[in-house]
Amino acid sequence: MAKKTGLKGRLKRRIIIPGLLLSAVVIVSVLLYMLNLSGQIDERFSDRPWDIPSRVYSDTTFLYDGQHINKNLLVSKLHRLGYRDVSQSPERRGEMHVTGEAIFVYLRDFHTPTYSQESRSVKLSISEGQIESIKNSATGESLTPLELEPEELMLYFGPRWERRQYLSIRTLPPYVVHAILAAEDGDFYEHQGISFKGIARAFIQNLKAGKINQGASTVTQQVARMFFLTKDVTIRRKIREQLIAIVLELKFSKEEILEIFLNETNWGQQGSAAIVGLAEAARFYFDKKASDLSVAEAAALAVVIRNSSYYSPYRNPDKLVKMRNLVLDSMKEEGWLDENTYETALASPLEPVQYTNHVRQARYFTDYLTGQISELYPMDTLTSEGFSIYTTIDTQVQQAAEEALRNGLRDLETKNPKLQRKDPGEKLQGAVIVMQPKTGYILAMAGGRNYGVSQFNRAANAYRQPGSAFKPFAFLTAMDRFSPVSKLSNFPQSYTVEGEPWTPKNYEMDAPEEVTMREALAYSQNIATVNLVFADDLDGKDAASVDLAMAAGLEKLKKTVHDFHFAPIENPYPSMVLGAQEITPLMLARAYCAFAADGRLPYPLSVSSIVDEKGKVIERRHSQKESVISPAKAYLMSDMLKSAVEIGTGKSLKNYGIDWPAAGKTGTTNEARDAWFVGYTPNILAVVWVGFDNNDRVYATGSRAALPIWARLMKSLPQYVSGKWFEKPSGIETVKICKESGLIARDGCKETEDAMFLTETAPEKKCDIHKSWLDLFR
Amino acid sequence: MSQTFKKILVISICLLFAGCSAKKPEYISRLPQQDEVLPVPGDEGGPLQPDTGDENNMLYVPEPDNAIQPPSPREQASLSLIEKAISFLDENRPDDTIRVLEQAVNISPDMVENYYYLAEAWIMKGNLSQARENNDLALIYYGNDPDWLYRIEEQKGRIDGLD
Repeated sequence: MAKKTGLKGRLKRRIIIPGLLLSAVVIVSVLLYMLNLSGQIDERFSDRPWDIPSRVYSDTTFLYDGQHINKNLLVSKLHRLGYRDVSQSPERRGEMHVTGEAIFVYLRDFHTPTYSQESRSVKLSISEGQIESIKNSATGESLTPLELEPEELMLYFGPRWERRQYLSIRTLPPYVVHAILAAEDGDFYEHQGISFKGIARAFIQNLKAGKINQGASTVTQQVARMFFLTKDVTIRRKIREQLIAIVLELKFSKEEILEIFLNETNWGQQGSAAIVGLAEAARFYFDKKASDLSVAEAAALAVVIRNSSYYSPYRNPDKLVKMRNLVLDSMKEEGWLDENTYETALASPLEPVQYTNHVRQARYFTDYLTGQISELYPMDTLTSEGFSIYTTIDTQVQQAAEEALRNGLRDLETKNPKLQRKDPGEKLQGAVIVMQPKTGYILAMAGGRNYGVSQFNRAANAYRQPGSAFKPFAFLTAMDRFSPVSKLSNFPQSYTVEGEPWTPKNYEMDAPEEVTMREALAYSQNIATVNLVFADDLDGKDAASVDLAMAAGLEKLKKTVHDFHFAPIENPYPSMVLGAQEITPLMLARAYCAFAADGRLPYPLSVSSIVDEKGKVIERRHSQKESVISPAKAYLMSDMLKSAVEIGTGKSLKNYGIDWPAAGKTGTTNEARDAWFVGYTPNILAVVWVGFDNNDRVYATGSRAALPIWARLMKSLPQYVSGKWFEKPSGIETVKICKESGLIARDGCKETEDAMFLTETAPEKKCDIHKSWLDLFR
Repeated sequence: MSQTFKKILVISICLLFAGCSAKKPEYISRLPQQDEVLPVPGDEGGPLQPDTGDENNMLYVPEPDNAIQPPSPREQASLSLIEKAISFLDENRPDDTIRVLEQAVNISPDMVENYYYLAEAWIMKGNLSQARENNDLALIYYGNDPDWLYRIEEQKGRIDGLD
C-alpha cells in the first residue's frame, strides 16, 4: 500500500504536477501571446485598415441638340470612359455603336457632388458635324441637354499601387456573399476562425492526390495572412495564423471579417496597378457596381480570387467558366440558390468588358493640380483616404490641345531643320493653356510635347518673356487719354535708361512714321507703343520732360502688372512695355481673361469639388472674379485685338479656316527665342507658347510658330465656337469720324469711318480739316 | 463795302440758312436713351405689368425693336441648366446652384439669367462681393429688357442693404 502510494505520489510529483504546471505555463503563454496579438490587431485596425487611392476626375461633358461637335473626339472620349463598341444597338450598360449618322450609347448611371444621373440607352443623331437630336432609345423622349460622366484622369497611388474602392458588405445582395463563401469558406458561419471540418477534408484530398493541392484556410485565416503574416509556408507561421484567426473571431463579427476580406483581396492587375477589393474587381471585369453583379458574375469573380492569372476571364475563359459552374453547384448544394436561378446562371455566358489598361491623362495638369491641393491635403491623405477630386478639365479640349501642340511643333521642325534636335530632352518645346474666360475654368493644360521625356510643366511654371503679347496691358495704361483713332508717333525716339540711351525699334524696317492706336496694336508697332506709354505728346519737350513722362508711364505700368497678377515687380524698367518681364503662360492666359470677361479677372480654377469616400463633399471651389478694368475698356480692347486678327499680325488665322470673330495677339521676343499667340472669343481663350528650354532661337514669329497651333486647336473644338461676339456694354460709343482728323465727321469729309470710343475719350469737336464755308455759319 | 452792307449780307445769309443747323454726331449706342425706358416697380418684386391705360400707372414698356428670337441651341441648353439651378436655389443649395450656373456660363456666357441667379446664390452664401460682381455682370447682359433691369436693380438694392 505504501509502495502503491509512493508510486502514485512519485507519479504525481514527477509527471502530473509538472505536466499541469507545463500546461498552465503553455496556456498562460498562449493567452499572453493572444493578448499581444489582440493588441497588434487593435493597433492595425485602430485607424483605416487599408489605403484607398484618391481619384481625379475630369469635368462632365454636356451634349445638346444643335451643338456642333467633333465626332472623332467624342467617340475617343466614350472609349476612354470605357464604352465598348458592339455591332448593333447596345443592350447593356457600357456598350456603344457608332454609325455614319448616329452614336448609340447605353450610358451608365453616375453621381457627382451636384446630382446623379440614371443609366439609359441614348441615340445621338448627327448630321454634318451637328447633333440633330438626343433621344432615349427606348422611349424616344428628348434628353437634351445630356451630361456625360466625368473621366478618371489619375489615381493617387500609395507605394503599393493598388486600385481599390471601399465596399460596404451591407450593399451586397446575399448571393454575392454566398458565391464568395462557396468558393472560399463554406463553413464560414459555423467555425470560430479555424475549420476542423475543412482541415479534415483537405487532409483527405491531399492524401488521395499524394501532394498538397488543397488548403484549409478559412476566410478569417486569409484575413490574418493579409494583414499580419508573410506568405512563407512554415509551421510556426501557420500556428500564428490560426491564433490570429481565433483572436479576430473574438474581436469582430462575421460580417466585419467578411467585409475586410472583400476589401483586401487581390483580384488581378490593371497595368501596373493591382486590382484590390470586390468593388474594384466588379468595375474592372464587368463594368458594374458590386451590388449589380449577377449570380454568374459573382461566382466567376469568386473563382478569380484563387488565381487571378490562371483563371483570368481574358486568358482562360473556359477554365474560369468550368470552375464558376462548380461554385454554382456548391451554392445550390448549400441551399443558397433555387433551381431556376441556378439554371439561369449556369447557362450565362462569361461576358467580361474589354480589357483597359490604366492610362493617366492630362499629366501636366494633374501635376499642377497636385501642387494646388497638396496645400489642403498631404500626399499621405491623398493616397489613402479615397477622395474623389472633380476638376474643370474638358478631356476633349485636353486631347485637342495635346495633339495641336505635338503636330504643330513637328510641322515647325519639318519646315525648318535648324529647329531639329537629336536629344529628346532638348527638342523644341511648347505649352498650351485653355480657359473659359468668364469662369476661369482651366479646360486644358499641355505643359510640354511629351510628359514621358520632360515633366517640367511649361504652362504653369516656365517664366518667359511675353514680347508683344504683353502690349495690350501697356495700352491699357493709356486708354484714359487716347482713343483707338489717336495718332501716335511711330518715329524712333531715344530714351535714357540708367544713363544709357535706349531706342526701341520696330520689327519692320518700313513701318509708317505715324499710326493710330488701333493700328499700333494690330500691327504690333514697338515704337508707337513705347511712345504711347511714355511720351504721348513729346513734340517740343525737353529731355527732362521725357524722363518725367517715362517715370509716370512706368508707375502706371507697375500698377497694371500688379492689378493683373503678373509676377510682382519692384523697380519697373522701360522694356517692360515691350514684354521683357518674364511671366508664365498661365499668368498671361488669366490676364487676357479679363478682356474676354467684361473686365473681371477670374481665379484660374482647376478643382470644382472634393468628395470623401462616403460621398460627403468636403471642399467646394467656385469661380471667383475681381474687377480690374471697366467692361467698356475690356470691350474696346477686345475690339482692337479683333483688328489684330482681321488686319494685323494675326490675319493669317483666316488662312487656317478661322472665319468667326476672334481677338488675338502675337508675341515674339528678341531674336525670336519665344513665340506666342493668345486668342479668344466669349467662349474660350487659349495661350500657345513655343520655344526651347535652353533659350535657343525659334527662328519664327508668334504668327508663324504659335498661331497655327492655336488655329489647329480651335478648328478641332467646334463645340466651343458660337460665332458670337461680345455684348457691347455701357460706356462705349460709336461715332462717325473723319479718318484724317480723327474728329467727328462733317459732310465734306471724304474718308469717314464708324469708330469706337470709350465715352470719356470720344471726340467732341467736329473735323477741323474739312470745314466748308457754310460751316462758318453753323 | 461799307460795314452796314457787310452786316446786312451776313444777316441775310444767316437767315437763308437758318434751318440748316449742324447735324448731331451719329452716336450708335445699344443702351437706352433717357426717355426710352422708365421702369417703375409695379409691386414688390413682381415683374412689370403692361400699360392698362390707367393714368396712375406710370409704366412705360417700350415695344421691342425686333420680334423675339427663339433661343439658340446653346441658349436652350443653358436655360435647361438655369432651370435646374433655380430648383437648387429653392432647395437652399447655393453651392450646387453656383456649380450648375458656372456650367451654364461655359455653354452660353451672355445670358442675364446666369449672372442674376449667380448673384442670388452668392447672396445666399453671404459673399456679397461676388454677389455684387455678378449683379454688375447681369446689368451688361439684360438686353434692354425692363423686367430684367428692374429685377437687377432690386437685387442690387438688396445687396447694398445687406452690406
